[in-house]
Amino acid sequence: MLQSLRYLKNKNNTHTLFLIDILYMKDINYVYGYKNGDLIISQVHDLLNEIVKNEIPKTLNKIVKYKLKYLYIDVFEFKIQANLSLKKIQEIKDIILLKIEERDFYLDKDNSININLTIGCTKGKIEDLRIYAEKALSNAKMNYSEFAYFDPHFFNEQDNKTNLIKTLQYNINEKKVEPYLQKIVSCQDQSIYKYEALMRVFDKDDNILYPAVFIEKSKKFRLYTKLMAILIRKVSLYIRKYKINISINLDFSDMLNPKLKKIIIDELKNNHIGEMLTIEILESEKITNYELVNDFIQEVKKYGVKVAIDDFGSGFSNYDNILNLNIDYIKIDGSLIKNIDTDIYRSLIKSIVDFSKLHKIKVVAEFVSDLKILRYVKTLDIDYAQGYYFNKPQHITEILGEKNEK
Amino acid sequence: MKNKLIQITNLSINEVLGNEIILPSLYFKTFDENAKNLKLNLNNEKEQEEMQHFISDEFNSINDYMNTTISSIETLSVATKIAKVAIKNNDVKSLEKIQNSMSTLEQELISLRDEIYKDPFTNTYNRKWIYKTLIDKDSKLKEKGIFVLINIKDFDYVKEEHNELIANNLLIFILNFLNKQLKKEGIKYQSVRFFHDTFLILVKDESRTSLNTLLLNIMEMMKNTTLKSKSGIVLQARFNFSTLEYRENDNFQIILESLTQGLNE
Repeated sequence: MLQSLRYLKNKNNTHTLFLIDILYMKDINYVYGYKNGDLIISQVHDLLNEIVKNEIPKTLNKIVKYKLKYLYIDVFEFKIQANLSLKKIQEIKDIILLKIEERDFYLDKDNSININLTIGCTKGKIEDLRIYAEKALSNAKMNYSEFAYFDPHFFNEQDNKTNLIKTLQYNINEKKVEPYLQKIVSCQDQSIYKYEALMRVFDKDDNILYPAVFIEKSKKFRLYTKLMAILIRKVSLYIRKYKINISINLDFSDMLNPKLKKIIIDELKNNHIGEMLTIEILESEKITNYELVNDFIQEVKKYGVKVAIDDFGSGFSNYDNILNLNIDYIKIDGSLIKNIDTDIYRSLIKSIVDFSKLHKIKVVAEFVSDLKILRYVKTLDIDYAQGYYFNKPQHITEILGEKNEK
Repeated sequence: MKNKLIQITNLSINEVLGNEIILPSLYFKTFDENAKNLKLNLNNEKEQEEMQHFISDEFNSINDYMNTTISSIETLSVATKIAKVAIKNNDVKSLEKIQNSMSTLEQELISLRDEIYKDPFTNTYNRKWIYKTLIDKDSKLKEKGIFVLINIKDFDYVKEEHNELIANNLLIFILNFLNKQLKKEGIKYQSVRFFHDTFLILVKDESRTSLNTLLLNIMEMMKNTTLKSKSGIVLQARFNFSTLEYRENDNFQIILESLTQGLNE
């Protein structure tokens, strides 16, 4: 009973939590060996103990309860049972950093090294405190800075995460995942050549969620494969039902994913959609094995599938890689097309077009948002265009409506 | 001092806007009450002195606008005279010269207009622009469109808990994020800083449903980003919004009230 009451009291009190991480500990272990690594960690622990006993009470000017312990082998948790002001937090952080970084830490015998720390801090009620202190620590490490403080006023991310997981699961269970279609038109006569399928999911109020909101998160939550599986099956259904050509996007990890690969091959084998399907592969630094990509391409091409390289011309594009892949289309990255009215970008696009023509690869310009861009695209002899000038991605019924009106 | 006065002005305007008629006495009373609430004593000698400086600065700005305008009018008058002669004599060189001075004049007028109608901090339009461009003398809207009211969440909290610089950075970050996404989606819009932490965005040729969807998605995207100050404070950028479609001749105040109400729902 007393213990429960103490826990509840403790739970409702505000605590300030510092996570103190020894920077590049793995390197220290690698260079000087684990024995020396352990020696360093124990010296840091002793020094931190000394600091929290002698230096920090002086800064706080009052008696407060605190606890220092190992959180992980090279990360210490320093918890103070007090709602410290930001000024005090900064002072404590400065003391810890100064004392540790000015000290020589001894390896076996006479050799010594200096070490650096990264500190993440937050304050609040005891629940979730560590999650946010870890967020602060990871933010500091990612930005190569010594310190980050996560303001507790913004402790709501857990709810956001739970909501998004629920939304994605609802979309999976109810098969709400929908391919929204964007037209790809011929530059010659602007007739519709095919459609690109872009994944959309819906929240509980039926609002559309864009890929930027959920794709990366769905990978983190391990729900991406299920979403993609529904998308691929719906695309296959629409191809059969509406007799239209559709392209879908796959990245390197999708091609390696046995479940997704099986779904694609099954659809090609059983539903004979190959001739009307294009697979767009994102050419990026993430492709670590071009042989595997080529194996995948060869396999789907047996069923008449066309293959496109997506976002070509951005960061890591490589002509040599393209030559080693058996592809039908190159889609020029939107960042180039958006700037097509400047000489330097125009000549860059022209070089991609010339290269593609030489190798009998058709070219698609993405991000064609107005007539001016379309005119430039036509003058460069690009084959197909896609973008908001023609349509924003739409539900298939909206597009068929347009077709019926014609 | 100036910031406090702006804050008091915003609060006072917000409170009296609902009234059909705003008499100067009502505005003064509200202003005085808000000044007291924000602990600004207008009778205090030191604050009066600061106020004098503030008024004198404002006067100097008005004086500068006047001088620029007068000089522009003089340039225009001289250019017109030269043009008349040049056209008569078919003098191409003089006409070229006039074209150059005209484009300089145009730039001056744009910067003059910006000084009057733009919020210098965010480079968005200010409230004066709404009264000049959007509504007539009876507060009726001149054209149809969609309004989006954006409120920067936590601006006052961050200003109080951390400092004004971080609060301003939060505001600029959200504004830039919004601008980037709206432009990416090809939305044609104009934005106005309506209060210190509130923006009014005017959109044409879009459906309200698709705009709501876009803004919801921008809100969600923003949840994935954090903002970090130089001193290491990590914040989350958040905003609220409400949208409303308006027709020509709708009353601006009524529309604004509905938008504000929508923001609080």
